[in-house]
Amino acid sequence: MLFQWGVSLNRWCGNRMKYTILSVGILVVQLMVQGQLEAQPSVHHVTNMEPAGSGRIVFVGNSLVEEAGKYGILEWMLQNAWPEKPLTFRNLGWSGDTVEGRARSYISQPPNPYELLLQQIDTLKPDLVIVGYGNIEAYEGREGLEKFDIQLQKLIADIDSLGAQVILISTLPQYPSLDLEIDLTERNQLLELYAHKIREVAGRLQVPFIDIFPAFRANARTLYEANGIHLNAKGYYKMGLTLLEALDVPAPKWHTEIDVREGKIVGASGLYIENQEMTRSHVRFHMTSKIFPVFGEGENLNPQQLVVRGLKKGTYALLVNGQHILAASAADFASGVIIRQGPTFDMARIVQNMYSEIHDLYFWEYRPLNRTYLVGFRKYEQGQNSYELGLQSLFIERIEHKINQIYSMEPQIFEIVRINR
Amino acid sequence: MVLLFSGSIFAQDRLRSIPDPDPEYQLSTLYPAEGFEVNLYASEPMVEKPIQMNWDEKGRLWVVGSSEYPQPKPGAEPTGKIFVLEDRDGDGRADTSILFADGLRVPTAVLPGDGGVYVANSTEILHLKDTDGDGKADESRVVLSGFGTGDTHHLIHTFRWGPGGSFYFNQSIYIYSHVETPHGVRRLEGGGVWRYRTATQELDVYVRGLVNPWGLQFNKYGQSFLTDGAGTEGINYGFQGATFMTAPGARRILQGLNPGQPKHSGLDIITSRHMPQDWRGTLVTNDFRANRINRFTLEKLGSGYTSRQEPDLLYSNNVAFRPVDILEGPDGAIYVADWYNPIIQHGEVDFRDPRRDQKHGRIWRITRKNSPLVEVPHLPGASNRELLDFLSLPEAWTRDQARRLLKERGRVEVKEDLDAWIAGLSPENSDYDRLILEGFWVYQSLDIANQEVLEKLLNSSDPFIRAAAIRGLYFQYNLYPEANDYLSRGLRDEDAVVRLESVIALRKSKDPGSASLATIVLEQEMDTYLDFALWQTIRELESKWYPRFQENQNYFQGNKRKAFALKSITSPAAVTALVDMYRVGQFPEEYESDLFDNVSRYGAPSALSDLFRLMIEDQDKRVGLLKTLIRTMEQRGVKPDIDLSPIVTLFNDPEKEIAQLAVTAAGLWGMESYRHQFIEWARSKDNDISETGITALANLGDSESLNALLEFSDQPYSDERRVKTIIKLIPLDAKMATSQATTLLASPGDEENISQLLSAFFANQNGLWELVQTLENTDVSDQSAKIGMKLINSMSARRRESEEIKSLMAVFGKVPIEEEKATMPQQLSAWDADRLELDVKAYGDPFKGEIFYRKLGCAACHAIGGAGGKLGTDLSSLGANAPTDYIISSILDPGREIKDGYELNQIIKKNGNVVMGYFVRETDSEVVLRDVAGQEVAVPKFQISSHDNVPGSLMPPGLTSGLTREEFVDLIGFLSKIGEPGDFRVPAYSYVRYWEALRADDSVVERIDKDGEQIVVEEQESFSWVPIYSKVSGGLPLEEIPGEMKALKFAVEVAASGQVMFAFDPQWVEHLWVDDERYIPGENGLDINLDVGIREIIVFLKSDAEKGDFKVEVQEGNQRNGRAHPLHTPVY
Repeated sequence: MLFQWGVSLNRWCGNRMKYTILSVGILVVQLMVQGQLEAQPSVHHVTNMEPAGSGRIVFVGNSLVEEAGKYGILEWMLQNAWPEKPLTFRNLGWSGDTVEGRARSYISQPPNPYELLLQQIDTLKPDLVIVGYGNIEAYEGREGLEKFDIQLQKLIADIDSLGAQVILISTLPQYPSLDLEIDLTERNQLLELYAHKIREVAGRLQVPFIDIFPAFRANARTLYEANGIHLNAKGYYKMGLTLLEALDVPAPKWHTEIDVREGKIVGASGLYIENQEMTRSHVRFHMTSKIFPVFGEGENLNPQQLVVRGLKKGTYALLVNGQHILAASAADFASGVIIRQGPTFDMARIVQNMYSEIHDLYFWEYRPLNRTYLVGFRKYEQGQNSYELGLQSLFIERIEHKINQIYSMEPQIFEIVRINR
Repeated sequence: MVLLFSGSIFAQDRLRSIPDPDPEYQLSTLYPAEGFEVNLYASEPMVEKPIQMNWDEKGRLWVVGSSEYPQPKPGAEPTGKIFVLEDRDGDGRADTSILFADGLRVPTAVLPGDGGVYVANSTEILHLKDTDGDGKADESRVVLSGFGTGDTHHLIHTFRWGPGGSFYFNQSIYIYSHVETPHGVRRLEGGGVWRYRTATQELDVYVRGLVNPWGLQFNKYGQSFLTDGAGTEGINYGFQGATFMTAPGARRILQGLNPGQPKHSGLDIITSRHMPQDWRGTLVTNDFRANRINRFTLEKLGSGYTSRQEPDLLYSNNVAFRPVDILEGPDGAIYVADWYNPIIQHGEVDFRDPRRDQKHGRIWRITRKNSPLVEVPHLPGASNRELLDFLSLPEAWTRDQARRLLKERGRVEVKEDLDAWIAGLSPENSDYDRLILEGFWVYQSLDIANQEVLEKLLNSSDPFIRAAAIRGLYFQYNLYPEANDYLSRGLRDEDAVVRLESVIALRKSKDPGSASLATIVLEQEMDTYLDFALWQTIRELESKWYPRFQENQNYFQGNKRKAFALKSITSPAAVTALVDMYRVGQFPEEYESDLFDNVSRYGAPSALSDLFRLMIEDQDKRVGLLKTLIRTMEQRGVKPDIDLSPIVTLFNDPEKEIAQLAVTAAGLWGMESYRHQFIEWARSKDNDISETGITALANLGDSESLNALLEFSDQPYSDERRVKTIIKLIPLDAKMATSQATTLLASPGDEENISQLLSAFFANQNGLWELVQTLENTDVSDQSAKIGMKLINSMSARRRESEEIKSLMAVFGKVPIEEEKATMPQQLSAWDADRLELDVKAYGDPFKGEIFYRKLGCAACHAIGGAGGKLGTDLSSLGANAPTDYIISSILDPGREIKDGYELNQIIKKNGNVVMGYFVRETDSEVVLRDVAGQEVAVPKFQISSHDNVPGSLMPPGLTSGLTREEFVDLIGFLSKIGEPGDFRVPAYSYVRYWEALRADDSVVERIDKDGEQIVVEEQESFSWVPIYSKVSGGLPLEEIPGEMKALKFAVEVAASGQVMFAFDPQWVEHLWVDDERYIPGENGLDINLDVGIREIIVFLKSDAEKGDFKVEVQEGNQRNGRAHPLHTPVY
């Protein structure tokens, strides 16, 4: 189906192309989409996705969603998919939550848990709500399916009435933890059953659905925390790739090949190379790219490989913006070197940290300490201080402003210099 | 801006009474018990706002705290810290403090273990490790997350290792947690204790309820005890599944061991040889509100305990001394974490109030004079064998650390040594069984089963050891295939404590026969805990036994066992089975009220039909059954499904009560064909009969009945009957009710009638609305207007702001009312309030104030020392706890300051009736509130249209408007002193605090002269008795009792039969009656042997006892073997 999040007919690539053609244009290299993942056809494959409105994306769901906020990975990957559009993200995930807002329970009502869920979404005025439920509901077994169906529909309708688009995410398999003797056969059958149910509801209501279940079905040990229920950074990166694939966004792969003999630079889609100067012992070019490193546990999960063929024998240094990045032999360059640092790495690390900082700040706004006294039923005791919760958003907005500043990076100058014969 | 400015001046002005934070000065304000001394172990900057502490195996004290508490500033980086304190030179003062971790988010607990420390970090539990040995944490892992954050002082806390190697921690009432684990999602909504197995990642709820359970400790048999920082029941005896007050949805709860006791934080059990021999096994806990440390002695009683408060271990007159945690140290001294803060509240004092201390904190150390300290065993690096040998030492620190180290070394490394150690123990050793138990716990920690060891424990002569073995079976049920055989023996054990654990452990069984087995305990004596545990086991096993029972009605062998099981569950079919038993006379009489209760809650129409038939046939059971049928209809709208016309035969029953109940039932069942009879009843001259008729008509509620009711709401009937009728009409047809009411409201009448009428309109949404519409266009008598205004004035400020009430105020306000001018202004400007507060400090006379407290009748709603009304908060430590400005504002504007557990709820029923009250509990079928009269009101859920928390308090404003300013100052002077050391602190002695005084007017004196004094005892009901409470000190001021002759009644509850003493101070008692026996007291009182149960005592005072405070202390303990405590509430 065609899913439009907004009205623009042009995808980012199109805009970008115009820009590059109109620019100085000594040599514009436009590349074909490379390395697009071979995906099994998803029932509701989303195409022509385009962020619109204010660009506010809200995540809601159980711990699958909540834990994602720690890493800033999904936010970063989504932002990089639409680099022209500044997006803002808020995570409303809640451990143990269900489509009824079960975990948003509290000693006093109103609001009841579900009302709170909707209030929390509404407060954020989202354009898009990414909904990840079902893992908790699956404990209810087959008998719980019908109730889940009804309540999920209700949630979708209610979010729709708030004027936001919905994307549904499937359940996540549970992974057998190393030390625990838990038979997960039935649990995972049920989780899959609930994933199918979400797909079915999505189909009925014509809502985009992203099935992450298959990506975690097998060989996923390295993607989970020790408890087998929470994803780790690699897991969220994998989830991010699955999301992008389903949203029909090219996999963010940074790969550049240079043949100095032929004077050709070939980069992956999304890398723009201009102002190139090249000899067999010296290469220099400007690179503009929105394919960034993605950090998890301090490690870049989206490796950057640079291949330079045809250099004269010797040792070469790679400089980016004059900063020394690595040194390798011509042979090493010919078989490809992995770039592990540089300005984009610094930037990515900072921005991801900022996303997780936003998540933390917002956590204490929507699940505040002393909720009872600030906004709850004893608010007449400390309600005078509840304005402080709103101040969290000032801090968040300041961070978002910084992200936007950092994000509009100038093209980088890559230089390969022979330092030894 | 202007507001902000004046506010800050206001706040600064009040800072004058903040104590000097110098630790030396503070030390001079701490008064340990005789024979003890206290020294400073550490203070800031070595610690910062300590909240919890725990020892490690090296004898280092890990202390967690946060300067951000209770509310971090927006956007601020977290600053919660963990310090590690160490006393290297053994001088009793910490000489090093290492900042192990920083940047934590309001951390509230720390526990060393597994190569690092577990930390409560708001919504999650972290495990922090120092991997490079520099003393600072460099690795952090989230262990569990999803804990609630709704209230900082309720966040997960009180981390503790249990004897079997599990990790226990608590959370409090406003915390709603939803934790995802590999074994499923675990939820705890409200207070309780969690239990976690780090190795298997299993998380369960161990105990439910309590308001703010800061305090958990295990005794040497592994039994657990809890304290509550906001409850009022002292020490709570907790076990698997124990459920206490405030547990959401709980049908049934257990009580604490010291009802009416102060609120506590932290708990430890004395074990060390440094302490007096007779202190071992006693419990120490902090009354942080009243700046003191309490001690309690426990004594086994049946499957549980009685608890007695002993003199304080330490007290202070320094308001900033806030002992929040307490632990025995490796050296046997007692260590106290002093959070140091003049302000403790969350709600009442502004989070940003400058009086909140954000930086100080102390650890105090209490030692016994002239008693050697315990030599601290060196545990790190000790061999397995050495560690095991340490288990023979009496100190809990040593044993707990040794067991933990063995657990952490793991099964492979430890098992062989453990086996050998156990085998090497000599059965001759007097401590043999206990050592085996210690070894058993190590096996348990390592998840190893050892049948031989288990059997040794089960054969111990010590019931606590046998009980501990059974508890182990509960936790390791799956490792012992023969578990049920052991449990079957345990259920028949001669000691109740073993039976209790066995009943609980059976919940783990998958055997369909287990429920039947569990009920074997009914064949021996039961008590509260056993009854609770069996009830819970039966419920938890319901899905396993119920199908079996359906196949075989003899599944439970014996009627009592069967009845107990069936009454424990809630299915309508179970009620039918109970009714079947009842019908054929197989139902045990002792459970009759439970049967009636279950019928009204869950009974199906067919079961009700059976009871209806029985009611008609059996005259003896008629009243109880009719009441049950009526209650069922009222609560659930369910009635028998057979021909109900035989009810009519009872309308003329010679017993008036039966006839009235029959008419009431027929009305509720909608038997319109009897309408004419109801009308006749309503016309009766007898007011009771008439009211029954009117109620029946109202219950019919059809249009003809409404028309009939019109008759009684008009002349020539008395105003009283008219009012009663109109009140019934309001929920049925508010418009009609209003038009009938207008004439009554327009003419002067009986004040009580008008007041009732208006109150009824105010209590119904539709009625109120109609009244507003109508009164805007009709006349109201001056008197009605005056009464109306009076009622409105006693409403909370928030209610008065509603549109309807505002309109009514306009209507009533048109009538010129001579206003009673308040002698004490009830609204104060900031300056006035400040002035008032200073005057209280300067001139407030607490002795006079206590008299005003008594005159105003505050005790009707508020308790001190457990005696007094239950509607309001217990004020036992108000003064020590709350700043004066808070006390003033909570009296002048009660809705503004609300305590935990006093959340006002508003239920609007479908018929428009409004029920206001404090929340008590909610189950599947009903919501229970405590109403303005202090009564529990159960509202069936099917009748509820909306149920909300509303701001406000049931305490009416304006209570003190009749006092002069001086009197008000004295009253506050008194309130602000309650709990401080001296005359206004509830003493630890067991004084009688609730009395009923004989109203001895002339006719009474005459009657006694004629018939003798025993007439008062024999025909108590025919005399008038006036409830009266003791003063805080325990004394009853005799001058408050009118009449020359003084006779006083009180009651004690005897928990264990035996000798107790009633000590009289002064000895003013001429003679006294205990139940029906007359006694002459000795020099100090009466030493007497009492049997278990509630005993009523009437004392006749000597004629010269006219004035002064009279005290009665119930003494037990020492050579007296009886166990009794005075009852602080009416017996009936």
